[in-house]
Amino acid sequence: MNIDLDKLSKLANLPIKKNDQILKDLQSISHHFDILQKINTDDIEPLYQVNGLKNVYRQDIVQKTPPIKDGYFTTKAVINKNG
Amino acid sequence: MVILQPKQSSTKMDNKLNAFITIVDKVSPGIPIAIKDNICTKGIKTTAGSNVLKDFIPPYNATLVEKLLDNGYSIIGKTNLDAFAHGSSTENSDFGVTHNPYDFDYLPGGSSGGSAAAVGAGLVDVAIGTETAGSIRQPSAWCGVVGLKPTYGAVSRYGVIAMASSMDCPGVIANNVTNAAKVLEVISGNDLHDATSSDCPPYVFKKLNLSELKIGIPTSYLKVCTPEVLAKFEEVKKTFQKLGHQVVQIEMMDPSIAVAVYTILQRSEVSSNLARFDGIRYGATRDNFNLENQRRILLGTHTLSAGFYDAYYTKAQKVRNLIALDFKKKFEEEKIDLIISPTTPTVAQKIGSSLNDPLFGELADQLVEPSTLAGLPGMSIPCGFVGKLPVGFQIIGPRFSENLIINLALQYEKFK
Repeated sequence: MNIDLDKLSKLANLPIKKNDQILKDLQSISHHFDILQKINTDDIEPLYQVNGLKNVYRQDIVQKTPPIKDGYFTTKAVINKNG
Repeated sequence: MVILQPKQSSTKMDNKLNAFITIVDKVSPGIPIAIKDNICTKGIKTTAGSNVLKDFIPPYNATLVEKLLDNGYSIIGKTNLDAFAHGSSTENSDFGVTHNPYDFDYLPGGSSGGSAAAVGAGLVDVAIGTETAGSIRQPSAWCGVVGLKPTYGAVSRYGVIAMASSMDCPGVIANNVTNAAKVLEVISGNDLHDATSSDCPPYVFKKLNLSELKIGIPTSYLKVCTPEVLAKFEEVKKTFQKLGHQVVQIEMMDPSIAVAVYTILQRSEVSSNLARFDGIRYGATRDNFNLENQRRILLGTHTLSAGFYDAYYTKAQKVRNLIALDFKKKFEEEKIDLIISPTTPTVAQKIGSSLNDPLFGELADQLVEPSTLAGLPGMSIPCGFVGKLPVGFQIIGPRFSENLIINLALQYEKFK
């Protein structure tokens, strides 16, 4: 696994000090991932969640919402044209 | 269990154990309960075991806390954990390690180590823990208590400081099976504030007359256990045979596959969930994350980053599906009612042993990680000792089979 620690530190907005140790640790952990490459997952869907729920709406709130125009909720403008 | 005036002295015995981060000064009359410190309690400091939140006092209660208070429970304190629940030892807590109540030189496990140690030491009968993969069952096994991780979605996560949202699951640590079931009755059920909470009704205990269940033991799980743990588990197997159940060996995916899947998914979700601690909303800046937090955030950032996302994150989610299908096949096609195995491959490890092993937790939790990835319920039950240290075994079942699991656990507990 090719790990660019400086890039990750920036992406995660995370200041780090023990860079050498962290890099060594991450590389040693990532060796455990190799096993997955040997598993055939052709035609298998990713399982992002396990409870089978879809589009859970708060009916108590949805019912109170303003009219819908072009598929969007309409509200009064919250900013004026002059910014 | 009904003690109307909790003994204030019990939590004072905590000095050496270090099971608590915060002890409540004036405990209201009620059934005493301890709450893991990653669960929001209105007006009571909630640190998640981290310096990032060391002064955070939540303005609201988690749904499960609200339910407990409404049902006569009284919070005696907030228990120690690995910071942000990152770990399986409590050695990653920014508030010092918790000791195993059976031998102070040993770890209690984690991340709900404070809750398990408090119950194991007899400071309180019931405590709330959270499990993402092992954090209830593993410390319960190491501290000789009962640990119940419900079906994902059975208990609301609202007010629980998120770690890996697709797996996080609050549950109960208790001194016996009955008390664990009683608390689950209170905390389970749908919650408008948690869109992932199940629309199933709250759990209600029903007594079952169990006979001739088909109980499966995954051969691959036993291969990683120490001989001492296996010897204790053999006694469990014989007990179930004496009770008239059919105990069979079953073939399941190697738990090391679940370790890889879980590690990728957990780190990925952590990197996203912990982005909110940006120094603006909660005060402390991101340099307050400890080394283990940093490793997890960075690895998760890597597995989610452009060029690596499909190879790691998507691949892991696909294999997660295979793991869930593996369980489904056992329960539906092979007609296995419940699965049992040791909860952990070893008994409690010595204090200090997690410090030089960045994958300590995942290896200690490898026997509970497959079922957690599939969102299944599981329960760890004490089954004896190796020397001074407790051993636990787990019962795993299909989604929402808590009542069957609890009934089998009760039958075992009574028979012993």
